Amino acid sequence: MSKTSSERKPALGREMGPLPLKGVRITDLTWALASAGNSTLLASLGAEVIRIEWPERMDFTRLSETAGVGISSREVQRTPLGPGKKEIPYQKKGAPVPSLANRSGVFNDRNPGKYGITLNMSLAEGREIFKRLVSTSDVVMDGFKAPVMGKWGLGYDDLRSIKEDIIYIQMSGYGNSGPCRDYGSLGPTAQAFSGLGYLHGLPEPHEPTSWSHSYMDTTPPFYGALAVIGALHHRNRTGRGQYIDQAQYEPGLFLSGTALLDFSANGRGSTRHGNRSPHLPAAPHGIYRCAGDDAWIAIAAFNDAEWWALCACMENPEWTREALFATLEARIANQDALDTLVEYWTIAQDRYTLMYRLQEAGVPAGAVQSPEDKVRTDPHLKVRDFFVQLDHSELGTWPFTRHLTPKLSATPAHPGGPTHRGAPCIGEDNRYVYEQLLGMSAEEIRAYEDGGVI
Amino acid sequence: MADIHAKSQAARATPGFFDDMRVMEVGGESVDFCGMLLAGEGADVIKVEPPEGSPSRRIGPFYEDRRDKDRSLFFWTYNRGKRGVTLDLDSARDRQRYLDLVRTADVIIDAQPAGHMNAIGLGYDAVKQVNTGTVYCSITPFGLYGPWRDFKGSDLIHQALGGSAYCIGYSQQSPGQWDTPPFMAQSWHSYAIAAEHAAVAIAAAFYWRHHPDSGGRGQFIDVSIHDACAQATEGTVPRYIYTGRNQVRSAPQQIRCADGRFIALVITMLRIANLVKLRELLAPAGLDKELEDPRLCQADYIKTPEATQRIAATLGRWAETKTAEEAFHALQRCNVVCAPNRPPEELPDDAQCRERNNFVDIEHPELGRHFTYVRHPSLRSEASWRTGPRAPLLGEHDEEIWRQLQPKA
Repeated sequence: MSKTSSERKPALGREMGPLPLKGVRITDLTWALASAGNSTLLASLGAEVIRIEWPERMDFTRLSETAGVGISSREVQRTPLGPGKKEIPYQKKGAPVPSLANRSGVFNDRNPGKYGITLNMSLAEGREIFKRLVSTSDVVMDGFKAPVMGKWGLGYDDLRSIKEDIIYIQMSGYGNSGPCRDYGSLGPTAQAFSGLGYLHGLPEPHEPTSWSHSYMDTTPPFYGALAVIGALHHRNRTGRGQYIDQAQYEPGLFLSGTALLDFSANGRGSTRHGNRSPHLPAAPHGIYRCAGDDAWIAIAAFNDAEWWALCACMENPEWTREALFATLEARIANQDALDTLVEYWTIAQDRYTLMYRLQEAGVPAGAVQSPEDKVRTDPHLKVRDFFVQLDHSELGTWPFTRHLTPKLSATPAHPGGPTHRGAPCIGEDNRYVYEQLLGMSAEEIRAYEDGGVI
Repeated sequence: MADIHAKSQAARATPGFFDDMRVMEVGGESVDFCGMLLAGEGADVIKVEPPEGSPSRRIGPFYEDRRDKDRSLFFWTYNRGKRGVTLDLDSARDRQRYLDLVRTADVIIDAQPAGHMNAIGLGYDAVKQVNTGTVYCSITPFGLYGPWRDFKGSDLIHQALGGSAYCIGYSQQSPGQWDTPPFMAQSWHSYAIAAEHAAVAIAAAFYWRHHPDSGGRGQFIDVSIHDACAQATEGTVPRYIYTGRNQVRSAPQQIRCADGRFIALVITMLRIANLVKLRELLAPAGLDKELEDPRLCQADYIKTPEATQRIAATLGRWAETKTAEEAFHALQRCNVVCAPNRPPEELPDDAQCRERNNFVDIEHPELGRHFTYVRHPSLRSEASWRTGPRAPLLGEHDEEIWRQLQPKA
């Protein structure tokens, strides 16, 4: 038996050291990505997160990007990924055939380290059980539209009457006030609403472009986690709880750089600048085509030394000595011509070979990396254990991305959290939570199951 | 609960979450955002600058376009709520002063090049000699180890290597063929992303330091901007891991309204039940017929690219006569997840932002003016975000800080 546990540890990427939020319990009603990401960060720091779900109102990410359906033996699932693991079994031996809802890759990656229970919040009996959970918790979090908890009689004042010093963080799309309080919100629309989407791509008359992934799903969890840790610290010092009302768009307001001040102080409106560097002089400063399909390299030169180094790498062609490019000011003024000439040079070259050559010479350069490149090629992420192997009870072992990337020397974050596991299957921890934490008897549990409550 | 605004206003004088935390920060443009987040949460953040000023004072735009160390809007944006002190770390006297300050600090954020602070005798080894409780956070382009450790980074380079640029841009002309490159997200996202990771790690380490099992000890944190950026691409990496599919870069789904503004739409989340309301909305314009295809009532069809493009095209025709604001509210009432795509400077006039008190005017007394800043990332009942004062002028708090450091008589 001891052999098994010592074998498991390295395979599961468990670092040494205690988890810094051990002993903190979170009752978790988060959803999808922008709110669920918050409890994921806190789980990786050691909080005991009890995620509540109900199969009839399933988190939609449970049904997206399912693993092992259809052409299940994709090469990617069979070959080494990340450090320390030779093969990734598609299905754990002896495990039951996974139900569709337990096979979502995105859900698995976004929710490791949490306990999972089923609880029907739309029934009064379900809400009574919820209150029992609240009474044993430090934090309650939800990702519903803002009015939902209040309609259930579970707003902050209600929660506080159950536990005086409870910390309640509500992460809705638009916050719990204002004319948009009831509106739906997702990453792409939060990006637009907070003014971020407007800033990327080519200037008018071209359309603004935006992230084709949901950046505003990955960002708000950090603001939420910082607030929760802060509120816990504040509670420990003052004995007082906290209500935190975070709209998905609000962290985005901090991310538009100097646009707000440039308007407020200089009266200048926002424009788009493509890949140029409008506020920190540099030229060239762009993303250039390389050999191969959809292969690109970013190159920047912020000063003469970097420019001369770039010229040397290009073997000092005649045009680099023209007056058009003699100074940084001149290069900035003639960027269109410069970009064309630089791309003429990069277009036949391999992006990684070129990147190493340029960096070696002291020129800032980086290949544009795809998700595949990050998983398969990037040697830096490999060495830094960016991917961690974790077990999922039905899907087997998979590589997980670290949600919190900094390396803490004494209390390293662990993506598997206190469960040492990937995302929970539906209701996987009912027994632990209902029996051990809430002290329910087997008969009670059966009665609740029969009544469609848990 | 509705009174959280009133509470939030009244709470302005109440302590922030970390009003017992002192932070020192030293380094270039990748240190500013992290310190700002902690200052907002109540920490006393002291920015240590060389006598000529922090490198981020040289990043534009500048107030009235006059390049000056006290006029950088970049510096203003990311350094409010902090105090500033100048130290010449090349001089022995100031290195001693730095260590005197370290004695009083809970957190040090070091964004100098890897190894620099160690080389001048002020790295973690020296710091923990004088203060075992210090949480020491290093922020460097690629972290302190790994094959790319010595690579040069920048916002552009990090967005390329981290993978967000791969996912930003216009749609392909034909499969695999783009006539435009991938784009970086303008406005310093790579530094913001690294700062968010760093701030959560620092908060956790500080929280742990107060735990009885920690012995009151601090620890060392190694933040790699590259690692943080590589994480900030949402589901794209797990999607590749589980299905073998790379994200395909494409323009966002958006429709242009009568005022020239775009509305971003997520039509894949539209439910069949919403079609009825949507047809009612479109009926006055005679466009409801276009959504009467019975196939739209099939769960697998309505989520296909063909169906979402058809719906978007219909909504696009409808929006030609509506302002973005009108279209936003009308479509949301039909449960279409959407939002107007506006420049950030228009947000202070937005009804939702006004209601949530999202912006604040901060005084710049030496200029006799107030300017608009973001107020908070969330509302809190007890301890609100600290919004000001404006960023320190170069050397503004030198005397005040050394006076505070004198042993009390």
